[in-house]
Amino acid sequence: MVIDAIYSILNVETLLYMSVALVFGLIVGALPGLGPVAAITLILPVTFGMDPLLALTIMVCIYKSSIVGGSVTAILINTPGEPSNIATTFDGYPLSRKGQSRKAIQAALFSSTLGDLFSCICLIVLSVSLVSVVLKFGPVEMFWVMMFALVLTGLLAESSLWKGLFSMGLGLLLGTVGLDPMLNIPRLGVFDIMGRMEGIELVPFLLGLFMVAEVLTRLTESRKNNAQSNQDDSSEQASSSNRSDVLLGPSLKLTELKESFKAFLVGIGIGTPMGILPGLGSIAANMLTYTTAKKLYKNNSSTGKFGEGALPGVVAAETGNSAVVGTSLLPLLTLGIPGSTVGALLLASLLIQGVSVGPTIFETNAQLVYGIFVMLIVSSVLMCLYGLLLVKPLVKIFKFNDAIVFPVVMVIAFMAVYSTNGRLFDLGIMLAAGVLGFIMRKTGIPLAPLTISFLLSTMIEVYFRRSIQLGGGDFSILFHSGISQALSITIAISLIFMIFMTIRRITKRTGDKNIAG
Amino acid sequence: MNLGIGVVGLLVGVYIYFVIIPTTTIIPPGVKAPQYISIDFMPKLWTLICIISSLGLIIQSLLAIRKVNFQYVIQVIKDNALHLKSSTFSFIASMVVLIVYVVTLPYLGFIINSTLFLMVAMYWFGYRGFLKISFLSIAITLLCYAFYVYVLNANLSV
Repeated sequence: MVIDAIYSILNVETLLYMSVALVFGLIVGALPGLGPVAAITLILPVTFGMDPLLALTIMVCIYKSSIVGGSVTAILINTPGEPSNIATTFDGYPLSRKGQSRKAIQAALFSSTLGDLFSCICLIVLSVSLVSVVLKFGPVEMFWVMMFALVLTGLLAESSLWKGLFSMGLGLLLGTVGLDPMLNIPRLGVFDIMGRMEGIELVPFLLGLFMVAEVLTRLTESRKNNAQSNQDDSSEQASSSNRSDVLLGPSLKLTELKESFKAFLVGIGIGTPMGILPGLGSIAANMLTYTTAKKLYKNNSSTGKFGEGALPGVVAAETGNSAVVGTSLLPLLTLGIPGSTVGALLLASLLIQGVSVGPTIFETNAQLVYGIFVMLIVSSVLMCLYGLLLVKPLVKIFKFNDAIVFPVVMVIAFMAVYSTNGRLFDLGIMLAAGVLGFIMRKTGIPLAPLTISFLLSTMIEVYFRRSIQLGGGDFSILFHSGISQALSITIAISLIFMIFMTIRRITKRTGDKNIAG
Repeated sequence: MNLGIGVVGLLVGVYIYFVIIPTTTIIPPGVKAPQYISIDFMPKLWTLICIISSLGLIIQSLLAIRKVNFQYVIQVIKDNALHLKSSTFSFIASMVVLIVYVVTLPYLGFIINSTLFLMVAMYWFGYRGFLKISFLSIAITLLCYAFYVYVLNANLSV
């Protein structure tokens, strides 16, 4: 089976698709604004007719390489392609200004690849051992595990507890639109087609939430800037000749690698476990590993102080955001719970392909799982190769005009949505979801809890109702087993703790204002 | 802003709970009702989470702020008149363009509609030059259309 899995990845067709996806991801990563989420959502309808493993391979490759693509622009032009590369700019760009961009990019690429590889190995080891435990879970335990993941996503996604919970509730509610999962009775059909048919379609909803909302945000924020930058086109062209010579300075030295090893350990030590926890993504890992490394190195290194071009700073930040990638798939593969927005999109892809994710996937679709493991490792190695080869052309991508990119992306989104079902109504859903996503972005309501809970809503309901049926209508069955007791108590403690922290923060702020007044 | 989100969330939540859910989750005659949990149980439960979190936002906002700022969508400019903020205007204008695109799609089809949309959108984003915009719009639309229809075998006939 393992040999079959290796063969399913190491063949010409799959490697070709992987290469295209990796290059596409690098380009998307280098374009500020278009992140992995937008790219994966856009590619989702294209993967419909494909084999599930190939579809997942394409998406994971885009995810991984977009993080690396984002680091290149973060180092060279102080603009992180992804929010998860913000901490990379702190030392990457100063290194670049010192004329050591080659060193910084090599360090970022190697640390990303190694961090990612370590995380993937952890995923393989942990998922095989964890799944044997999870297989013993009944509907009650699964219900609590899912609720725990959801509450954690809601609480940790953003600073505001209430906004996180609101987003979670909204996602769960939207997920109930359509047919009742147990009785197949239409429910919440505000429009006939929504209630009487499958409910809210995944592809238009996700494309609207991420793609349309992103375009609307960019349009409202940067229209003036773009017009101005177009006027100054000639001056930019003049300066571009200076930017094109991007790789400056010497390569990485062995002594610098040795010095940065502690930063690498910090990166994998923090990033890998952070990937497992739902809600804590690569952005948090990038920042936390950087600050930890800064403290560990006492703000100093041979290449300079932190913030002024310290190579360990780049290594820590890049290892941290990449070490999240592998382990973020752990809850998805073993429990069917996506730990992040990208995880939610991967789950959506598998659901559309008819693959039921969860502990049973190791029994029913073992070849797919082993294929995923092989793919994760192969894609890490390929990502490093492509990263090194494509650094120069990648920077030119950054100069691509937003005025062309975003309208084109919109047209592709329209065609992608219409091609799935041939219904104009789906375009309406996409626009409505776009408005929702835009409002949520503007008001600071996190999108991740909404996406994850929208996808898990049906499963949570099924597990809950099966549990109650098992208990013969007695709700106390939800607290019978040790696991369910532990999980429910943890959820309650997390909620109380977060409410307490919120109240404390508000009272402290009000107190400060009174003193200032 | 949080106060606004809380109030809107609360009102919409209450409306969904008391109006939408009861009128749209009805078991048709002849179908056996579920034994222990009604089919509107989960939608009501999730709506309650929205309502509670909206209330939380309202309380948090009332505790934290002293002065309500309505300048998120409207601003006062020099002539002392109220005007829509430029970002709000951009949002409304883009939504109008997008809605027009969807509404006219059955009449114009993907090729003409997308070409026109691209021309308008590129100009709106600040790209200038009629010939450049026209050429890019036509080329990109044809390329995308060909990719979906001939490579992915998708049906884009409206």
